[in-house]
Amino acid sequence: MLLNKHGETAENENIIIKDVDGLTLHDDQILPYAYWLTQKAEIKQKLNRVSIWLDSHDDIEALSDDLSSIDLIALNFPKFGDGRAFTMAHLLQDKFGFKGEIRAIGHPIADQAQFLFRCGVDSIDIPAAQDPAIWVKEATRMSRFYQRSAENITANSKY
Amino acid sequence: MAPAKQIKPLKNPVSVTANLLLKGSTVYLKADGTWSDDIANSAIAHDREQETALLALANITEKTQYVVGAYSFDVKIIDGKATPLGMREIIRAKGIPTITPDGLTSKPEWQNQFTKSNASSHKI
Amino acid sequence: MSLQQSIQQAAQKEYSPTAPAIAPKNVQMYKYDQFDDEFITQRIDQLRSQINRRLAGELSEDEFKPLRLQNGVYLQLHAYMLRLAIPYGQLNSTQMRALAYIARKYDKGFGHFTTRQNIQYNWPALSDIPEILEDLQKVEMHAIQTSGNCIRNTTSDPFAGAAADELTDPRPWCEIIRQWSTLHPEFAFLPRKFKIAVNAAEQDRAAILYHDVALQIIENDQGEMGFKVYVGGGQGRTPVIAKLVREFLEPQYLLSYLDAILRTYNMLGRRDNLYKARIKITVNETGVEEFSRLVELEWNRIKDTGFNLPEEQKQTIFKHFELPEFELHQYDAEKFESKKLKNNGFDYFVKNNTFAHKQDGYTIVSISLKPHGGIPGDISADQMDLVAQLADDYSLSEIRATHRQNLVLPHVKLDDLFILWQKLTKAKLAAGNIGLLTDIIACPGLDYCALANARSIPIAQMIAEHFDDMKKLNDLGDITLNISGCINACAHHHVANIGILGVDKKGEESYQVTLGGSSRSDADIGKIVGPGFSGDEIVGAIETITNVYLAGRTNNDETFLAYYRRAGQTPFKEALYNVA
Ligand code: HEM
Ligand code: SF4
Repeated sequence: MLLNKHGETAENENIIIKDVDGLTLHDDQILPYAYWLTQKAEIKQKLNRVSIWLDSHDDIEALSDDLSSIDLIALNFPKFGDGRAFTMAHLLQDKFGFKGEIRAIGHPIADQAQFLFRCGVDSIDIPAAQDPAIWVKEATRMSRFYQRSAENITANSKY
Repeated sequence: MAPAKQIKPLKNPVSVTANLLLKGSTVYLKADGTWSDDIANSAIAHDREQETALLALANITEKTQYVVGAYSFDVKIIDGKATPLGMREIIRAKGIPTITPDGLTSKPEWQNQFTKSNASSHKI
Repeated sequence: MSLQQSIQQAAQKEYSPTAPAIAPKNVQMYKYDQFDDEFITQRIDQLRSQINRRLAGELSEDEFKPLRLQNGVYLQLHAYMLRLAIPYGQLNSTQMRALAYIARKYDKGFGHFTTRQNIQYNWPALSDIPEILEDLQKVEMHAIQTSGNCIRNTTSDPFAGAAADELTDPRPWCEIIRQWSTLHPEFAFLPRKFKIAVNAAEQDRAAILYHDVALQIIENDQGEMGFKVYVGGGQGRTPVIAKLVREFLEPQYLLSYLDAILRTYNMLGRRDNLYKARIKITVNETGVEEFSRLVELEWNRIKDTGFNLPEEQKQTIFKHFELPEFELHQYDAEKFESKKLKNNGFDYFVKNNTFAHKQDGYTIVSISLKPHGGIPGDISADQMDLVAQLADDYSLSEIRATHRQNLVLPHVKLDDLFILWQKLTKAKLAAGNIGLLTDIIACPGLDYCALANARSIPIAQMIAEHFDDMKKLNDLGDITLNISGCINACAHHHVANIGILGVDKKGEESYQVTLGGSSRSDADIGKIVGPGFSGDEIVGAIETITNVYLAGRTNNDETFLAYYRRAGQTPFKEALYNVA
């Protein structure tokens, strides 16, 4: 199940690929970053829609030249306490001007949903076995903020 | 591969303790799987197997959100009942600090806190 | 009404924060607007729902813990602990009364002021915490980000806005940082906790160089105000003094510069090892030049496009802190001097517990929370009510908490000082030992803390009881003594002139002594003097250390630290361990 910043849910059509052995490329796959780095040309040629996922220790700077050919970047939470994805989302959006979709995957918790959206994440892949209703609630928990959100949006923010 | 870790036998008998999730206060696991705020009621494990069984029992109530952070600790058996070993568990079992700020009832048993008899109760 | 009656009345009154016993005068501090109030309401609702989810099994303890910590809730040995934020240490009298009310209603009638200018309650139930926070909200306080791996309460000079030696008032800047850091979406799951301190005075009364970011407000050659920025200080198991990364930061760029520091740290900070996760380690491992290069790179990217507080809104915040109207009055110096002559206690109090105010005829008064044999930082609900009353009567309703776990009445007329001292004396709050050996910082230690190796409080009490001669204490002069119950160093033992660290020695409480630390502008980290001492030996060891100093100093003006820096550890080692 996917969640967006308005607290709406949608079916998740994507498959996160961890193991690339014998892989046949497909538009709905989210490919590992390392695979993308080595197979760029082939992937670009074969796919209409390119999606890759990054782990929290991956170097997003190295991605900056490729961003125009990528449609979706998923940021993995190996565990929820690893907060690098917040900054990675910000940098993708604000520093590199990434126009595609930014998604959080892995093990975030519902209480992080709104923070993620405010940092520029567009969708969250709600971990299986969790009640989407809680995520929906937490996505719009606060309506008062001391900071501007991604893209400098001032709605509901104090300054 | 690393050699399988040798499980050391228990040095002292152990009991299992936790804190109540809602209140935070210290409780001890009884043999029937319920909890008591008095260490004297606690079940005692004499070997690793019994310790594992007690922790598993504690885990059942931990899963029902009744207690939090169950662990085993060394005890000394006096008159068939567990008494805590080591200052940390002695203080926990008393349920109050060794010093008595305004607002806490003063407990005479904490007098002379640094005399050897009290502080060295860890050694048997 | 006599003092006695008023204490009794305060103690008996069913005080509720909804109906303050005495509304505070217009205190010069940040006041919530509707936005701030709604924000707090939403945050409390969130915590309440998190507690419910935890109770329903929808959140595991692993998931719940960082969430409760970010609301100041710890689990200790006997109970939960709730740490409330006192932003940069400033309180008004109504807030102090609310703290007393909470101590009575939800706790065992007392609270504990911490080294980070906050207050902790040791006995609340988890189920009561949302309600406590709602009571606090009524007096414009909260517990947000008082723990957890996020940006913590910003600390500052407890004399801010009053001290004669300050360049400007640092509080508005602290408030700007407080708001910026509150639920900052990008920095709520940092590698480790993050503490910022701001100082604008000549003297450093906030130990700023032991913070993750230290901001010293300075004036450049053109007479413009700005920040000198240091990064990577901290205590814990590896004490590190913060390093200079920017000589002069123009104030309008404060927030974008902080964003750049935090962003760089969030990406570079280690997440593989909890003990290497603080920014002090990041800076050491990356190298300060490289780290500041990365910060500058990021800052140059965002300084004009990122968020900096607009000037107009900055002015709005500054307005809250405009100095009070001080009364111009004739203070009777002759009478004052004669009172000092007649009262030894008052004389010591004036000497040690007062500090020069920027306004003639006024003084800054420290209230020592280290009374003879007391628990450092602890204060009863009745004493809180009394301090609130004294603040109303003598200090424009203002109170401060200090990083040495004391309280301050920042605006006291010199003419009122004697009667204030008399009233404090009756409430056992007049210990004239500020800055002396018995002005001890002690953490909760093994009496409360789940991480402790040894008790701290009884050691502090034993030392205070042993050194109970004011004359001797004054003769020893300026000495800091801090006691931590484990290597986490909550009581800053590393940076005390005499530091005591509780360790576990084969199941026994043992105490290691360090000498030569300092948390002021001449910051230094203490060095271990030798093998540890038992709880029974430690007072004797401190006596020996002070005797070595008294015998060795060239004259009364040579402080303990100065003597130590000259003589080194050898004389202390010889005396403590009988080595020739
Ligand atoms: C009783 C519950 C407490 C717990 C569980 C606790 C826990 C900790 C821990 C784990 C650290 C080390 C963090 C690190 O890795 O750097 C620490 C540091 C610290 N704590 Fe506490 N603490 C407690 C109470 C206090 C109190 C009462 C004070 C103030 C008197 C305090 C002030 C500090 C300070 C100033 C530091 C050092 C910060 C630094 O490294 O910059 N804590 N605490
Ligand atoms: S120094 Fe250690 S014992 Fe003392 S409060 Fe901190 S964590 Fe607890």
